[in-house]
Amino acid sequence: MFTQGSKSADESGQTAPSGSGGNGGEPSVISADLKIIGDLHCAGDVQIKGTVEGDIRSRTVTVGEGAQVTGAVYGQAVHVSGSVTGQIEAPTVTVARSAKIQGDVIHDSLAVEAGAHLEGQCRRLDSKAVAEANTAARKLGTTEQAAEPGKRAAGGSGT
Amino acid sequence: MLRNTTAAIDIRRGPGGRDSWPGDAPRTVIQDDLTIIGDLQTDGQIEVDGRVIGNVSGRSVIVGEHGQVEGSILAEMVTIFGIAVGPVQANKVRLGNTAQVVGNIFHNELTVEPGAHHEGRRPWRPNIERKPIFER
Repeated sequence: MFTQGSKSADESGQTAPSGSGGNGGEPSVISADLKIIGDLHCAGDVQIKGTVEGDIRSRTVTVGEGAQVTGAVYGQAVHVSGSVTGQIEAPTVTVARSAKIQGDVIHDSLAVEAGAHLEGQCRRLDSKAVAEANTAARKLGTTEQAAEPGKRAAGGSGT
Repeated sequence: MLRNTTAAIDIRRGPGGRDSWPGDAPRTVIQDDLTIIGDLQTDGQIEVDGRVIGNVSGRSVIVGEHGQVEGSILAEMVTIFGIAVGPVQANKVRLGNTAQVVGNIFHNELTVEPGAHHEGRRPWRPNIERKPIFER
């Protein structure tokens, strides 16, 4: 019993400094048998080997072989060699041959290895920005149009 | 072409080609820049140095000095150096000298180091079974 106690103390004694040691650039790892139901937000790097049901926002996202992500993935760079069901949005997207993606890929630079399973639209980030600007302009136009009859009505009631 | 774009991270080997990535015992590390809003479940080890708003279940759970868990912790072995707000259930529980825990600690073996803060009860149980948070 004492040996067990000291053993557990040793284990945590080893891990405690690693936590306090200011992990500059060390990625967070979601291991193969881990399942997360919820969203991930990260300023640094995330490696996923397990299952995530939710959105991921991070600087770099690596979806490893065997990993499953159901949800959107946003990042500066996204590397996929596992399965992603959902939208991927990043300036740099890399798709390995073992990847299986069901969903749109919005990118500036896209690399797809032969054999990758990719089902969805591939668009560029700037085209998305243009589309968003267009829809915003359209919305603005409709609101202006909607406002105009009101003005006329007000003017009409004035006379 | 692929190699150029993946200069920072090799897809198959992980960053820096570290061998800890593929074969080792399942170990999840949540670094201090990661926040998870949701529940985590594994049969392996979880090391939390970031923030989890949700429940954590694993064989072994370690909340590092910078770690923060807002939710219940269910494990066979729990070591806390950081902050835990919520009930803790594990056969072996250790509160390190920097631990700040608010919530009841259901345990079979409890170690509290001098300096640890704990608000709550510490009920003893003969055996604590880890129930899954959700179906895998």
